[in-house]
Amino acid sequence: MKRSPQRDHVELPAAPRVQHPGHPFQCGRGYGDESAFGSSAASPCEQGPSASGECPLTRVCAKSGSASASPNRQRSAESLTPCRPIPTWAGSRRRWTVGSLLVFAFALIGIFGTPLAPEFVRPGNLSTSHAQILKGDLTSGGCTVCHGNVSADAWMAMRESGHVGTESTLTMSDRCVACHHDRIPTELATSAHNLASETRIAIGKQRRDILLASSHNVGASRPASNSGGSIWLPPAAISQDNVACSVCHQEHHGADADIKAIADTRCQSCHSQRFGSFATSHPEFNNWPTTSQHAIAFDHSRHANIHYPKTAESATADSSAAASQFDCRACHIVDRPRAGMASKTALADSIVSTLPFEVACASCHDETLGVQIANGPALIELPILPPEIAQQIESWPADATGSPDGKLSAWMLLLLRDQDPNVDFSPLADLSRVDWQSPQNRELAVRLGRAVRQFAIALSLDGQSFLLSAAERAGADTPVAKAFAASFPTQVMRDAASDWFGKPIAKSNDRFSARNTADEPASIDGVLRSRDEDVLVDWSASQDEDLLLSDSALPDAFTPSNIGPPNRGGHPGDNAITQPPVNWENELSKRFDAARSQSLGGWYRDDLTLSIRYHGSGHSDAVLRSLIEMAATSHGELRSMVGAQPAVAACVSCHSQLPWRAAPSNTLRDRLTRFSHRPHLDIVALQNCEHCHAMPAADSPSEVESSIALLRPNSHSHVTSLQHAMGVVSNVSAKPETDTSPADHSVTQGDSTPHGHSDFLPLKKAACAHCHTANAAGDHCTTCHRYHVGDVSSHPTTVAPIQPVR
Amino acid sequence: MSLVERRQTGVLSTSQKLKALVATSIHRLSGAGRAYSFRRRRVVASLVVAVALAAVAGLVSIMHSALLHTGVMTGWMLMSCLVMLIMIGIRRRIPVLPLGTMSSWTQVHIYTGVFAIGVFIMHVPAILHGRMIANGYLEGSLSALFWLVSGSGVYGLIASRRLPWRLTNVGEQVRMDQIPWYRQQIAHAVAEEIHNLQNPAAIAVIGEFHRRYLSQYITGKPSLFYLLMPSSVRRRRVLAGLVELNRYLEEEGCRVCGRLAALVRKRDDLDYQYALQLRLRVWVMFHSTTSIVLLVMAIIHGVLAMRFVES
Repeated sequence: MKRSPQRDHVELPAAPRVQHPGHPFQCGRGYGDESAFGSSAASPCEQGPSASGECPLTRVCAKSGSASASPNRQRSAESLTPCRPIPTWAGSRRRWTVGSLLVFAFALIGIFGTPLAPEFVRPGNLSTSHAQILKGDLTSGGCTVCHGNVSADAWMAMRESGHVGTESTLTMSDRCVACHHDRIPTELATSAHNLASETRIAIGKQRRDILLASSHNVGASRPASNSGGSIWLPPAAISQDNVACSVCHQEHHGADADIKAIADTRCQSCHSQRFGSFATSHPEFNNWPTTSQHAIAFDHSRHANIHYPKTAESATADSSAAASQFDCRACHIVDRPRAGMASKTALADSIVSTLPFEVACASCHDETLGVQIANGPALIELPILPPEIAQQIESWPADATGSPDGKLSAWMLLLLRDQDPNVDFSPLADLSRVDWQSPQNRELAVRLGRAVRQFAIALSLDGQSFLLSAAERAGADTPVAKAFAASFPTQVMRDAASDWFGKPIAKSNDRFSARNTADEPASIDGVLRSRDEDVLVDWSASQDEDLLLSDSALPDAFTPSNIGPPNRGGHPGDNAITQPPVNWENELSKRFDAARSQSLGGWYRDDLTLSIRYHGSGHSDAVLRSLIEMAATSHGELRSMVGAQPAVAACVSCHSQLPWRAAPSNTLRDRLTRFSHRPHLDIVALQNCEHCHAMPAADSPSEVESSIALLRPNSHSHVTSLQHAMGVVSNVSAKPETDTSPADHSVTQGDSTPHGHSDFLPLKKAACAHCHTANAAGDHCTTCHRYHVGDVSSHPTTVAPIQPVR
Repeated sequence: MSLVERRQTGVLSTSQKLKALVATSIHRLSGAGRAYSFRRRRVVASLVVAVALAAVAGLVSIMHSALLHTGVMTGWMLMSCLVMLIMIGIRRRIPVLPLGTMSSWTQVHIYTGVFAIGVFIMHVPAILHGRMIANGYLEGSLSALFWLVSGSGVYGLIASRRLPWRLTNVGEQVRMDQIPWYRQQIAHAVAEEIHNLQNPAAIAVIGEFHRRYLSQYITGKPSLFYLLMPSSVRRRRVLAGLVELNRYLEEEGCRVCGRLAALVRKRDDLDYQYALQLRLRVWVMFHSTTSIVLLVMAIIHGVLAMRFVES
């Protein structure tokens, strides 16, 4: 505001001096208080009012109020008339300030002294996934679910007791894991990547080995990745063994906050090899993508380039022409994650689920598989022992006595090992090569004979229950072991044991025995003697005839004279009517041919080899599966003996690793890196699988084989170290003490293709870097890599949830 | 033209001209080579604050990369700044101690406040997400209070530069506590002027004007609107009325009107000074009170944060 020049200047008398600056009140004389002097021109007194705003003359007047009214005293009384003190700005300001602070103090007391305190001090809303902790009724305890020191009482108690308490000793990370123990291993929750320090050190050493190997190997170069400004980043200031959850996940930033978001620089703070962007300085892919070590051994390249074209040539024009075309979607389907597979689907890509054998493979492989498993393994087989040894074994059959020959049944040895783990019968595996002059071998053979005899008797008496417990102890899964035990016909074993080690019974009625012939009249006596024992025989029908084999009970078409040679691959008896009758007595005198008479699989007794054998029923046969599962847990020599059996070899030619189905890979390497096909398949150009999964040409030397050769242990030393490093990185466990190498699960030895290797051409980083840049599909570390890679699926934790203190 | 010829002729190349321009600009901006001017002090202090903020930002980035809670560091830094800012009030109340001049304290207060604003932006993650106020009641109140105190500080910085200049334009400065006394003297002088009138016409005209308009203006207090936005409207209205009286008055009456007009201007100047001084004092009171509240709430927030921070 512009002020006009002063005109008609008026001189005012000088204001009285302020006697007490900062005093809350000043004397009211001359401030319009006419009562003071009767004139406003009076000057303020020297003393001034008190701090409470009281004029000091007020007391004087009160004392002199009763004085006489003489003229002098009246003048004196006028000069002693009290003023009305005027509040100063300093006083007003002080009162306003104090009043405001008192209001603020009362507001704080009102807030912190009431149940509003937790709501008031809560720094913000929780994220959506955690919002139910405070808002929902699923969790009780409120703040104490995550914070143990929230209550004032607990706070004071902790302070007095030196922060020692039961509930207070639990850190926030402990409370996080109390809920998230299904995803994060409890004991390694605060370790970097949820890995033990030993594992991290091992990985670091392996990465250095890889870089060292690649520096010698020009063809598989992995550029050093320290580049850009990332090398100036400081190292992590916290211990890698004590990384609290809140280091990366900070809550109370609102419902929409992404508490999993993390800067790339934070990811690299612990890593010695650092790089800038994915496209420019990320290490080149090496052996990516990989196959699961549990994947079915399937050579995509050979099927696409050799088998399918050959099938197409032989196929007629009108039949299965389309099916002869190699199509990825014929085996790999787009499906949805299954219920209860949350932890596995987090790692697995459901799009590449493989269809079962019956759908994808049976059309070509079912017939050959039937041939391969026709020669069934023996559950029990009496070894041919020298007479001097057989004499030492009680009631050792004469048919199993003589010049030792043949091999022991690996299946039987597996179960015998379960009977007496301290005895290893492997030195007697091949009886023809045993040094029988050795006392140890002779003693071992005696023990073998006795063990086999006891095993046979136990099987005869306890039957399926004995077999179930033995299979479970030997390592078979319970469902498979049950199916295995349930299929076993104990009666066959009883008859066999009776024939081998005791008096023969019910020979003429033994429907399974290949030894029984019509020209053995003594068997009738056995039937007569045991008619009170065999509950399956209906003696009411006929005293000397088996009801099931009675000619009168069977229709004409199924009379023994009509039984013809069994067909392969069809139902038994389909050709019985059409085939001309043969001499069934001669047929029964021959050795039982399981491939012919028991083509659908099952147990049978072979009296030629004095064994109980099993003929596989086809793919996914429970008995063969239990045998292989038991073998997987045995030692190498016994495992190789099982693997040498043709039926087992037919299985493990595809199922080289357990489990049987191509389960999602759970190696550390797969947990560290994630990939989902689904968003990529929305891109038209990528809907052709071969865009990324290129296969080598049929007429050229396989590039994949050359890469496999690089990974074989017998290559150059630096490549050996590379292979070793890659193998360990792929299979290392989060817990060193529970680490299991691939060989521990391997049934077959000497696999030509190392696990974790794909038969596709290696994918190059450039294929991804086209889109995965900072301005396009993103190139953050967490785009492709996980932090929490602790293996909880194979080591489930059972942590009782923490009950918060109310 | 060779280099020697160019030097001899004094012709400068483009790069040399650019260098000279930059050097001159820096010289002029910083005031180097001259006496320690206000501009130079401001430039140097601003540079120091900018460098300090850049250093803190770098430190925060490094600590964030090193997996540390940067909020702890910036929180302690903010708390230190708050204490430093509060100290100026203590210094003002203890003038006897040799703690430096109030001018120096004010400069430190200003640039510490600017620095605190920068640190506050790094401290509150909500700001980085585009929200000025943090989540939660306590921290939302705290951040709102911080912005209030900062805003009042910025206003005070501007007001403390402009209001003294406006007060100086009015004339001599009067202590605020003495303004009521001067008002009383003016009212007394006006009453005396009216009382001393001899001419019946002047008594009738000026007395009527005094009764209807002048006495209300002289004895009343300025309105709240005037205190918030002081203006000369009321003064001009009264003065215009006094001027209007001149045609009804003789020479003596006109002189009385002139003196009354001078008293009205004196009164309006006092009201103007009162409004501006009141504004400054209310601002100081508001700024200091909210600063105390801010410090208390910051302490509560710090205690809670240190209790709940895990690492």
